[in-house]
Formats: sequence, structure tokens, C-alpha cells
Amino acid sequence: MINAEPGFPGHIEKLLKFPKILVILHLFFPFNRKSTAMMRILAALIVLLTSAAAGPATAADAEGRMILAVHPYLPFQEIRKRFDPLADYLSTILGRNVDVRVGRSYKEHLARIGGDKADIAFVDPAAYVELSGRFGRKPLLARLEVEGRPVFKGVIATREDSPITDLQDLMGRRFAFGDVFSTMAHLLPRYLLQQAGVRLEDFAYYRFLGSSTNVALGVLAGDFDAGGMKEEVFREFQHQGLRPLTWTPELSEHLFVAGNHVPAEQVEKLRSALLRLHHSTKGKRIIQSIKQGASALVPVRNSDYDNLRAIFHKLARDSDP
Amino acid sequence: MTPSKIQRYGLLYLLAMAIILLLTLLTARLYLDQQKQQLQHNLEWEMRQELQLLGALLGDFLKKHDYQSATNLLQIWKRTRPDIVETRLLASNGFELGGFRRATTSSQALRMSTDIQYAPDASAWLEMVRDLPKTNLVSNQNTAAIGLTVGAVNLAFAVFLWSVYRHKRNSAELKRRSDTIDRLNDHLRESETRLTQTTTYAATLADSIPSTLLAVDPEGRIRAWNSQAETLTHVKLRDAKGHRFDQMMPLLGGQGDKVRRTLEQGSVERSSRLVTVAGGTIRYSDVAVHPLPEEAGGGAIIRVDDISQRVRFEQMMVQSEKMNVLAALAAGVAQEINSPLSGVLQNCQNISRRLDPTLQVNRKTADAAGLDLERMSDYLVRRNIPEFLDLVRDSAERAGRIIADMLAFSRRSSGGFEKVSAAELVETAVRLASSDYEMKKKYNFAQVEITRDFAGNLPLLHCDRTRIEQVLLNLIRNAVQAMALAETPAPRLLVLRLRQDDGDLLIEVTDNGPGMNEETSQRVFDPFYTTKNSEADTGLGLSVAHFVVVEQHGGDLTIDTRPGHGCRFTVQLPLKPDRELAIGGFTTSA
Repeated sequence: MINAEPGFPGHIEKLLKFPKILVILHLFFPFNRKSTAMMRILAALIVLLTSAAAGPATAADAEGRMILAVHPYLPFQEIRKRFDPLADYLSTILGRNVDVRVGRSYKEHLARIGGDKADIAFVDPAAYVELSGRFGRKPLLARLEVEGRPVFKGVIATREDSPITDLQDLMGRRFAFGDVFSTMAHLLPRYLLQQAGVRLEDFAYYRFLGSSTNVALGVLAGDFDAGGMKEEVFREFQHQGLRPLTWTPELSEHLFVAGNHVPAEQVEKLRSALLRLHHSTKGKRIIQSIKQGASALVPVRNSDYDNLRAIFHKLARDSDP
Repeated sequence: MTPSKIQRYGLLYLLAMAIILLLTLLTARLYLDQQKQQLQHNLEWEMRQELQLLGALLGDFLKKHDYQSATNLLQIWKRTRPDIVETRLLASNGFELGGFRRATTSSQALRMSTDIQYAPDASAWLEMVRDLPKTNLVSNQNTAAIGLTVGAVNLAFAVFLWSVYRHKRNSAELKRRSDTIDRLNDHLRESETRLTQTTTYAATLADSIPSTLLAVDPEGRIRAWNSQAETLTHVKLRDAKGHRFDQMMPLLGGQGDKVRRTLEQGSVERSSRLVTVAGGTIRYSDVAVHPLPEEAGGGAIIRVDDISQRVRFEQMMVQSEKMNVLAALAAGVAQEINSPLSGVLQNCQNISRRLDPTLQVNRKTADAAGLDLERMSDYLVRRNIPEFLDLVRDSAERAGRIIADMLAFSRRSSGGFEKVSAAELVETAVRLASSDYEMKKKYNFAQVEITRDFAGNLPLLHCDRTRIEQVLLNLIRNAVQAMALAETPAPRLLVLRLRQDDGDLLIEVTDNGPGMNEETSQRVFDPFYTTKNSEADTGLGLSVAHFVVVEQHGGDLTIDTRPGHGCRFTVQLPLKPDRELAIGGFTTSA
């Protein structure tokens, strides 16, 4: 389930919605002839103000508010819970309010970032590769380090009692992927299968289950013979009877990017703030709230994602129609 | 209804109620069990519906392989259904996709399960366990409540019956005890009355006794005393209580050791003839200390008897004995003197006769002796010899009279009453006083002018002659002595008056001497009280006179005097014979 927040400024927009309509109506259909002139002026001012506030969200509005966009990989409330502490921290550093925005969809999220509608964005590796490919490079701020390593991986797993020992054994079997946009639960496992010569039509059937958790449960329940999932999900369910068939290549962790419109000085300020976050106890807690096991935010380079680019390139080249 | 009947009916009632209670409980239990079964049936139906609904929802998720949503739904199910103790979603291979388990609160649970077919070749198993504690508990509680209610009602009625029974029984017992108490009260009142009477009797008895009585506790503090003690000390009992006896009654000041011995040893201690002086008066007392037994509270009774009067009597008796002895001695001396006195008198007469010249025998004898009798007579006359002889004769006669009077006085002191003339008594007393040597030589009795004022036709007085003469003699002697000692200038008068006043005879002895002051006049009749410095004056004269007149004759002896205005003693004697009193203490022997 994905919950997305209404566009900025949603609540103000709601409040102003009805008065704006009334004002507009009044402009054309004045209610009181005696105060028509004053009302018209007042109405014009209101329209002007609300129009300035209405419409799509713009980054760094006139009062200095910044937007931290997060892709919808978790329920909305969960994402707010994980990223609000960081937003508050950045607000303190920058002296400006930083608001968290969760895209209604992965596509919207990418569009927001690519269109520089967000000042800061948290993206997964695949999103960044796509982002950089479609919209060009963005200023890189920092990437996550989890349990001391800035990389993560996925796994294709099966049940412990399964006779499957390698990927070729999956032919004619039932396979489960996570979210279609998921790097670890779809793209990389698919890459691995492709490399192993297993195509989607070789499966008895395959399904996209929406999350690594569903993949793990589906495999454990016996509805699927194997599935691709994130490492952390695999670790979570491993004791219940999962066995890895193969691991994906390690990919650079999730990262923070800035919009191209953000002044370089601010970009540096943001980068510096993120990179020194783990120096304090409070900062460590902020980092850990983003992802379990996260230990720090470390420097990131565009080249850290070259291997993923290569995988995507191969997938795109060898992918099934 | 008697207590026994109530008891019997009560027991029957209890038995009946016990049976009814059992039947009620049984019926209630059956009904509640039926209700419970019905409830369980309903719960099963309800649970089956829920299971189907939940299974359908879970099946929808499982169809989409949205196992996460299915487990989330189970968590929501857990939160909303606290009565569900277990829910499990099992894959067809037995893997538990999700669920929860709680600790059951009851031994009874409803377990149901359903099969979820979410794919042609895929199914899941949904198990649910629901707790059923409340029905049993409710059933038991209801049964217990009904049983308790019925039991409580029966118990209340049984208690009521029991209380009625107890009341009846207690009433009978109460009446019996009330009667007993009434009897005891009557007895108590009687005892109190007797106690009051006894106490009053004892108090009256104690007050009527002339002795002074004190009751002291073992520490010598006063617990009670009689009215004589109050009179003696002028202290009320309520003020004396609690104080030491020797503090409240100084005359017992030296009795502490005796009281202590009595208290310690239980012996009776006596002290005789304690002498105290109070207000200038000598007082004699006998003290006896008697122990009180423990049952009476311990302590002692101190009895004080005033023996002053007895001592005075004894002293008067001694003095009287002395007087009697002296009287006897005087009588003896008088008797002895009488003989030679008779010889003197006789020979004086003989001498006078032998010197008489008119007698023939004398002339003849003188002639024979060649004596001129007339010339001898002339010589004797010239030398006052016949006068001398007359004086000798007169003196002898007078001495003889005195002796005769003394002998008569001593013989007549027999103590018997007789009718006598008051004038005669007075004259005898005057005569005795005039012949008293001391009266004549020391107190110049001859210079006293005696005036007699005797009323006429006075009846005879019924009295003891000797003693009244003694009284009058004392009064006359005192008057003369007083005038002599005060050197009353002449004329020294002594008036003796006799008169009758109704049934009494009054004898007044009045002088014009120095008189007495008030203090002296009030003490003049006290024994041994005297204003004279003579060793021979015992101070008993007037006290004896007072005793004789008042105690022995039932009369009165009063004094009327003022300093410088003489003194009048009035002896008042009853004329009627029935006022004769017994005489004691004064007897005379001839």
C-alpha cells in the first residue's frame, strides 16, 4: 500500500480553495454594488496571493522552504517517521524549513527530482541511474553506509528443503519478484537469471509480488519455488527456512542528491551537514532512523553506480520484449 | 409460642429450606447449562461466520500473493478481537504465514478452522481459537448468585427465627433474672436499712457514751470520733478526718507509743490519770487503746474518760477522811480535856464556896483557925480574887461548852437527813466560828458585827444538819477572813439572812469585805482554788460546800459580788423532803 501526501501546499490550498472561488465569482458577479471597487481590489490581492501559493510545488519558495523528496518505497507514515528527524536537522543547519515530500509514485518521484522540483532527494541506486540518465547529473550529497559498508546486495533464495541448487534448476519453476521497480527484488535477480540463461518464459510462471517480504513469504509458503529479494529481507526470513541460491553484485547504497537549482554554497553546506551527521549521537540516531543498520552518510561519486549502469544496459539490451 | 416450639419449627424450616435451596440450585444449574450450551452454539455460529469472512479477506490477499497484507490483516484482527486467543494462517506446506497466540484465560476454548483456496493448486489453512471463559464463569457466577440469594434469604429468615427463639428464651431468662435481681434489691435495701440503723445506733451509742471515742487507722489517722470528741476539741469530724490523732487532740500527745504498740501487737494499752491543764483548769483523764480487727478495717479505738470529777471526789474523800480523823482526834482530845476541865470547874466552885463568909461552916472553921473571915474576905475582894475565881469558872465553863459542842458536832455527823430549824443551824455555825481560835486571834472575829435577819415562821428544813452547819461555817469563816485580810475598815459587817422563796429556803451570808472580781467569782467553787497564801488553806472549803448543797441536797449555792462591794453567798435549799439526795463520799464517825 502506498500513501502519498497531497501536493504542496495541500492544506493551504484546501483552505483557500473555497474563498478563491468566491472571490473569482465575486469579481465577475459582485455581491455588493457599494463596495464593489474595494472588494475587487481585495479579491485581486487574494487571487494573487493564492495563485502564488497554488499550483505545483516549487522548490525553495519565497520564504526559504526546502523540499526533501523521498521515493515511495514504504508507507507514507513510515517514510515521514524515518526522514522527519533528518529534515529537522537540516532545517537547523540551513536556517530554513525542510519539508519531507513523498511521491505518489516512483515515476512522480523521479519526475520531481529530475524537474528540480525538489531541493534534496533520497533515491535508490536504480532511480539514480535512471535519473542521471534521463535528466543529467545532479549534485551528489552523500550515500548511506550500512553496518560499515556503503553497498548492499540482493539474493535469489529458495526454501531450504527445495531441490533447487542453481539458477538453471529454476526453469519450469515458479518465481517471485518484488516490486517491478525494485532493484534488488526485480532488476538484479532478473539480470542474474538472464546471465544464467533463464528467461521469464522459462518459468512455469512468475509474479511481481510488490515487495521483498511477499517474495520471501511466497517462497516459504511454497507458492513459489524461488524469488528475488533484498538481503535484509532474506536475513529476516532466513531462519524460517530460506536458502540463498545466488547473490547479486553489490551496489552502492541509497544516496542523497540535490537539485541543480540549489546554489553550490548550499549544496556544500548540505553535503557537509550530511557527512558529519554520524559524528554526534543525535546524528547517529537520525541516520539509523532512515534505515536499520545504517551507520553513517559517506561521500558518493557518480562512478559508484557504474556497475549498475552496466547491468541496466545489459538488461535493456537482453531483456525480453 | 414457647422457645422449644420455636426451636422445633425453626429446625423444620431450616431442613425445608435446605431442600428447597438444593432444588433451586439444581434447577438453576440446569437452566444455566442450557443457556451456556445455547450461548456456545451461538458463539460457534458467530465464529464460523467470522472465520469465513476472515478467510475470504485473507484469500483475496493470498490470491494476489500479498502475504504481507494478509499478515497485517491478522495483526489488525488480533488488535480488534481480544477474545481470540489464537489465529494462524498456514500455507499448504505447513508454513505459518502469520498469526498470533495469546495466553488463554480459560480452560474452555472454541477452536475452528477453515480452508482458504486462493489458487487452483494453492490453499491455506486458517485456524482460530476463541476463549470461552465468560460463559462458564457467568454460569457459575449466576448459579452461585442464585444459590447465595436463596441461601441468604433462607439464612435471614433462619436468623430471624433464631433471634425470635433467642428473644423468647432470653425474655424468660431475663424475667427470671429480673425476679432474682428484685429479690436481691429488696434484700439489699433491707441490708442498707439495717446498716443505716446499725450505723445510726452505733453513732448514737458512741455519742451517748460520756467517754471520748476516736477510731484511728493503722497509721494513726482519725477515721471517726464521737460528739464528745468534737466538744472536747471544738473540731468537727469532717475537719479531723485523716489527721493524726495526737495533732487533733493534744491531750493524747504522749500516747503515740501506746497506740503504736496496740497497732503492732494488738494489745490493749491503758494510761491512768493523765494530767492536762486546759484554760487554767486541771483535768484528769484515763486513756485506753483497743485494737480493731482486720475485718473492721484495722486500726484502733482510743477511749478517753474524763475522771477529773472522780479525782476531785477522791481528793475530797481524802480531805474528808482527814477531817474525820481530825474530828475524831479532836473529839478524843476534847474528851480527855473534859475531865480535868471538870475538875477545874468543880474546884473553882469549891473555892468560891469555902471563901464565902456567909456560910456557917466557913465562919466556924475560920474561928477555929483564929482567922477573921470578914477581914480575909475584904482582902480577897480588894485583890479581886473572887473575880479571878469567876473568870476561871467562866473560862472553864466556856471551854466545857466548846468541848461539848465539838463532841456534839462529831457525834452528829452521821449523814442522815432530819428536820431542823434554819436559825438554829445559823446560830450553831456562828458559835463555832466565834470559838475558833484562828478566827479570834488572827481574823478578829470579835470585831465583826453580826446582823441577823431571820424571816418569821420559817418551816423546818429537811437536811443533813452537820453538813449544812459545815457549809455555813465555811461561808462565815471565808467572810471574816476576807475582811481581815483586806483590812476592811470598821465596821466589818456580817449579815445573816433567812427567808423563804416558794419551795426553797434561802440562807444569805453577806459581808462588806473587798469582794471578788469576775474571774475569782467564777472559780471560787473549784476544788483547790484559793486566793489565800496560807499553807493551811486547802482551797476545798467552798467546793465542798457547793457539793453538799448542790449534789447532796439538790439545792444551789451562788455568789453575788463585785470588787469593793463585799460578797453575798446564797444557799438555796429545797424544803420538800422528796428532793433528798443520796449522800456519798462524806461520812463521819463519832
